[in-house]
Amino acid sequence: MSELSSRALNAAHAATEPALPLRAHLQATLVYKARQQRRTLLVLALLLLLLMLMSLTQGAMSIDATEVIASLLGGVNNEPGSFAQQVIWDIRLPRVLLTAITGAGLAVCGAVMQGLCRNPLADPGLIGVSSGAALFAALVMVFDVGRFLPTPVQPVLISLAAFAGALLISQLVFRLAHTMLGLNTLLLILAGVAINALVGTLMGLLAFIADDGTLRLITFWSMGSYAGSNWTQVLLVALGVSAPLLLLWRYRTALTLMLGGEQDAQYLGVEVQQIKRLSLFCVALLTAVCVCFTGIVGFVGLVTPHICRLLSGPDLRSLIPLSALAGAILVTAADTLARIVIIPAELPVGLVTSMLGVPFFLYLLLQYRRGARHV
Amino acid sequence: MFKLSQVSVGCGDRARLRDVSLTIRQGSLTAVLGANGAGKSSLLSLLAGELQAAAGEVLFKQQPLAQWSSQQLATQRAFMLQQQRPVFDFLVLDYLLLARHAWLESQAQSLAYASELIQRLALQPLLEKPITRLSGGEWQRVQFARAWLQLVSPEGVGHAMLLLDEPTAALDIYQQRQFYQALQSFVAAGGTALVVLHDVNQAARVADQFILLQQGQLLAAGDAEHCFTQTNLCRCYQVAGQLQHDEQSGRRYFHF
Repeated sequence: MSELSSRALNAAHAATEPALPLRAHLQATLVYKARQQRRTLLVLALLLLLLMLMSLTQGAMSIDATEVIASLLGGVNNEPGSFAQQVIWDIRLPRVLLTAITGAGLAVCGAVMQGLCRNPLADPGLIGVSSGAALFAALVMVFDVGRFLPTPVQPVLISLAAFAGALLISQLVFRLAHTMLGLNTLLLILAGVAINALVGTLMGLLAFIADDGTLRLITFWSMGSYAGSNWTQVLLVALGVSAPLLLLWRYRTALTLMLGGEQDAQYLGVEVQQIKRLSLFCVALLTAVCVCFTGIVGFVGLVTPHICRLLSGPDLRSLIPLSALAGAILVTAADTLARIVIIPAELPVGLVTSMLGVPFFLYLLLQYRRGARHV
Repeated sequence: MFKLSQVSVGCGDRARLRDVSLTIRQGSLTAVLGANGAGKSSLLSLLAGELQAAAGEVLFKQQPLAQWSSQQLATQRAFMLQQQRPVFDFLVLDYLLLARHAWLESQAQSLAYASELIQRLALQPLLEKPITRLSGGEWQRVQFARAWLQLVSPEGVGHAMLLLDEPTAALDIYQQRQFYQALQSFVAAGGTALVVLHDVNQAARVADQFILLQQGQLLAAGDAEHCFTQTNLCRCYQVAGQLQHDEQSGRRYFHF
């Protein structure tokens, strides 16, 4: 068709066809989807509450749900200081809250990392946060650093070391991935793999020189445990998690645009370098806060965003809240299981998240294999 | 739209563009031609604000390009990349709407522009598909629609510049024709477009302005009459060929 007639046709097109019905239809579709999403969020939130409530009833001493609720509401059936109330308020409630908060934090980290790396297999561990935390915690345990320090520091020493290690090692990875043009995502992945391997080696060395008791401690720490959660931890983690979470939430649209490639996002008006730097730092901080008291709870950051993406699509504006809730649910469920399967002992929670996560991940893999059209 | 005066990119032996001066007028459809390595993509990256000029000045709307913020620039120029599809399966409608990010407007407003364009480009059947499941031609159409949508202002696209890098390299001739019709309708709507092309005859069919590059230098720039000539094309591509005129359409055809 010649240029002229095509122009004429287009002009005619524009003049005759009103855009209104389509617009109304699309508007309705979007409104419907938004409502659907809100409903999903609501259902998950209710599920989380129920699960937390159930978790409060379970344990070495089983407590009635009604009693739990009454105790939470400061009800009349329990005179203050009763044993059940103490178990609920001093042991279980902080633990359940901590699982929910850290689960949410880790899952959001995963969602953001997978987006930033444009790789569905990325997780917060990739930037060296988890391995850094584990390494420094192990260092403290093996060399028994606590004996040089004043007594009040000793109980939080491992957490402090883990927190510092997480930030230090992730900063090292960021440094390695820095080029003249900014932070290079491919380099970031490679640097992460290299540094994780290095840290793994160092961990091996530490394991070699550690005595049996310490070795056991290290192993358990790297599988995570919520035993011994207390209100101070809950408070610190809640505070530490909120700032980076808010910042990531602020950048949700820009992060969504970056899913389509950094260059593309730049052309669409996103300050890519700035947002990448800030959100990676947020991820490092979030993960550090989440693992420093409890040890490494694996698989949450990897699997949760995947499950949620099936529900909401890749858009981080809906994926972030969804992942947060689903992560909280996954870890709370895992910790509850970890507590009750071999009463009075406990399983490491990381084992349970893996046990719940791996089958699902394999299922996703099989789905993908079915859909794959090339080698 | 753009005014380049004595622009160089890179320096010394590794200069990718040398001493290029040219103007791109509003409402034109310019084809950038040249052999491989002549600096076509560098010119495009330069105009997109991605490459910095080592010497000379790049003015976009009378203002140095470097002074534009990326958010401002995103409302004025779009770049249709020859890019891989994202691994994440956005639905086409959601993917299109992302283009309005820089405008800081309500969703209803974005949707109004989007639905008009969707109708114009007949994209309705694709809207609910994930972008990972589109065919090559469909993906190209969606990319184009998104680039266009990125530029729509209340006054249309008269203010805007669309940059395209080999947009039809992977398309069959039917889809190529469809694509260029869409591109021409963008220009007919007042937009300015600059497209890097390998196929000189395709360029002759669609473009009204030409930029010929040779080893990083400007060989010629202007309309078909002055620029799309046998001497220029033979020099530009280092081939012996003949320029023919098609009586019916009045178009030029380079036979080599």
